[in-house]
Amino acid sequence: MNLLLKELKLRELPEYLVFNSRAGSNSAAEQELVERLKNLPENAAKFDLPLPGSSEEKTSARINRFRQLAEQARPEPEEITMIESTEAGEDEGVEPAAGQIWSVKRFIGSYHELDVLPIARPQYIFLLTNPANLMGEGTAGLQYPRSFTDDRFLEFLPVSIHTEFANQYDVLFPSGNHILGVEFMIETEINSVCLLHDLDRCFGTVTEEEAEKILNTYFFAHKMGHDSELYSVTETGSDTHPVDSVFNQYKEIEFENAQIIAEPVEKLRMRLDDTKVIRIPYPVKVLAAAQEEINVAGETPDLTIPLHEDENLLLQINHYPKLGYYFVVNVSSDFCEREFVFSVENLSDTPIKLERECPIPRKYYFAFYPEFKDGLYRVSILTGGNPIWTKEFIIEMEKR
Amino acid sequence: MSLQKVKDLLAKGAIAGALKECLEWHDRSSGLEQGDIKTYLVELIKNEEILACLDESTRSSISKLLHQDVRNCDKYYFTGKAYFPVHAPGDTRLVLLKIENDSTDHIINFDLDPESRGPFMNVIMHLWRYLNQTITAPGMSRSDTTVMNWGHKYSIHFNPFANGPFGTDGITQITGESLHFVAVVATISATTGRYVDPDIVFTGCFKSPVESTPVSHLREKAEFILEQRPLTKKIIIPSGFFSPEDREFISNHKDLFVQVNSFKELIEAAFGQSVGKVLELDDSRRHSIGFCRLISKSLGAMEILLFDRVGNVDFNERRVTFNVVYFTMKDNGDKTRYQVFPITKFNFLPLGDSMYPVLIILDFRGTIAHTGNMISNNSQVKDIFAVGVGYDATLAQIFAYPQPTDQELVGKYFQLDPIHQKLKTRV
Repeated sequence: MNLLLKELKLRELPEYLVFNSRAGSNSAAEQELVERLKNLPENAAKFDLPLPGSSEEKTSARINRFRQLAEQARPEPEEITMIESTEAGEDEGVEPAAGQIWSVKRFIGSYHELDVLPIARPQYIFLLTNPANLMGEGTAGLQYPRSFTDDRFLEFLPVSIHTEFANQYDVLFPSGNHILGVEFMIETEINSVCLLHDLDRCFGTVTEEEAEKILNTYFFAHKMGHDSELYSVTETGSDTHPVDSVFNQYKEIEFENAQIIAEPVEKLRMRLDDTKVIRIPYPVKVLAAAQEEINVAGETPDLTIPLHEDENLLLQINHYPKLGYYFVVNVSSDFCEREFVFSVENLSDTPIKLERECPIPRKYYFAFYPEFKDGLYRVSILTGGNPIWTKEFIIEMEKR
Repeated sequence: MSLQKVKDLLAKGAIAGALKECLEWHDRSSGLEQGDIKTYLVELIKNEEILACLDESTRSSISKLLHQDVRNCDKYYFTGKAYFPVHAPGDTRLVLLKIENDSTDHIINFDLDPESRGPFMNVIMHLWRYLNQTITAPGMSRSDTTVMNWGHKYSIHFNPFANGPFGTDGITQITGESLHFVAVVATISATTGRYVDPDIVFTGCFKSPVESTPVSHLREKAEFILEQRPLTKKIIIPSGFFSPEDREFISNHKDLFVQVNSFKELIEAAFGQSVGKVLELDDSRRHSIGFCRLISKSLGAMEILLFDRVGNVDFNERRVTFNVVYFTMKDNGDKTRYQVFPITKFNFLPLGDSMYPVLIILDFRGTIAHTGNMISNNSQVKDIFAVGVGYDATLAQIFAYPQPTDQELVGKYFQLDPIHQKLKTRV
């Protein structure tokens, strides 16, 4: 691989983080980053590298250290490490909008607790669109998820400081610019999507004139018809390069990086597609405590709402005329050998959790609890504190 | 379907069979069905009647399956309850008879065939009188309590579960008289507060308190009992002549059977103590048995001012010393009906010098019918009887003296106030 392209992949750990990990000097957030990414092919070998001993190695480590210091020198609150994130615009009151340049959080997908690996190095993006909802209005029956989860996302163009790799589709901003200060480019050839809650910090907004040039170049890059006159006065990189050139290799890396940023969007979409909406038609009885009451086994429910069923796990909600609503969970010993915990958690600003310990795998009946209300719920089966099965549901109750 | 098989077995009182079926069902099933079965087992072992049938092997199997210890049954659950078998061609079942307290006259709360009802009630009535005669105060050979209404309601079930996943439509009709033994034992249990050992089963009839009669199909019943209640220690049966087949069976299982012929022998075999010990009740229990009871208070020697009264004139005063015993009635409800006929005697604990004649003062409603009944049936009593006149009586009249030594006492009045004052000091 061309050495010029070293350490450009988003999930490639900088060597200083690896060294610090071995020395035990990373912050908690930095160390979490290392732990989650260390097994990737691009990182694994780094853990076998000798710690800097020779003068050459010391020089390399020193350079990396300077780079770290340079990144730390950017105007950020002192208490935040390099990879600490803030809520989008929280400290500046900036609402994300098209035309802005933002950095992306390291722990992407974390707001929605999506199972996505973090990124190891900073990524800057140019917001191409205003935030929009992932699940459009036209999506039948899915206005409910939006009540309970923020599914906004936006389209972006990657921003890179490696202007040495600029091609004719990359709009250049000279050093001393009003946004990042250093020279950077907006790569109009690559576009991707990002969740709103993965935005970290806003660095500024391009001017109208700059926006016009960026969009025009974007149209040019995507063969959508452009103003050639405007393009001719737009600062971009040089002509296209051979397929196997380092320029194209760089673009491949940038493209892959853009897909990484988009991973949480896809995961959230899948989750929302998969999230069943359950409507509870009867008023929920206020019960004293959600304890197991398996005498309900002899009662006949007048309503059964299936949540999940396979050969090893049955989960449903039953309503009994005199008893009210019950979760019914049946777990086979093939699925879980010993004790487990059945958990129902309301994912909201004021989360409520029902947890019931189940000594052995069998069928249990758990009454709804008094605080039950509309919301996005995560139902889990846990053993040893770890979830072995989890699914989310939207539950809406008929109002009394 | 296996749940139905379990229910069918429970409906026959075949508890061991039901548990065995459950365990075998679990072994041949998989996945979620095993989860259902385990949940059923958890429900089953909450029931004392189920727990009472667990032998070590079954207990161990269930414990292993549920990853939890299975407790022993609470034997006090079996207070006022006892088991007996019933048999029809091709169908043997185990039944639990139980007694509840009830003030109504609804004594038989199950469908006992008409031919069997009479003999059953006959035994119960004999038992009531037997109890009134046999219950004693501690250290005494007598009692101070005479029960007028026992408040017992007899009911049965085969299946320990009235509802829930194991509930079945109960068959409530039974025929025959082999439940006499169990009715006596359950009644003693309810009266004394002693539980009946669930490992003892009873089958037998009474012709009278001192004469039992054999039952039929003993072998079938015994085999079913041993199969379904593997912890059975004893089966208590009547003495007398059984069929040759049953006689042979008894002979081959001598350690299993206990033969009894009377209330006394039955009570002693069931509770493992002399009947005197079993029916010796402390004051608290004695004064609360039944639904309606007469309680006597012996006041000792008292000089009473007697007089004649005609119209509004009192005359012929004389003072006589008696050994006074005062009876009141306590009931749990409102004017509970008296059930026990006839009263052969009123129970009291004598106090004081026996040289004075005993004056029994009956100060409760409905006296006349009962005392008239008693006196006319028992001319051997040497005591003198007086009755309170009217409700909230302040005056009493001597109305009976079956073996008089003083002919002029009958008909005399006396004030009740001195009696009430003495009662207050004796409390």
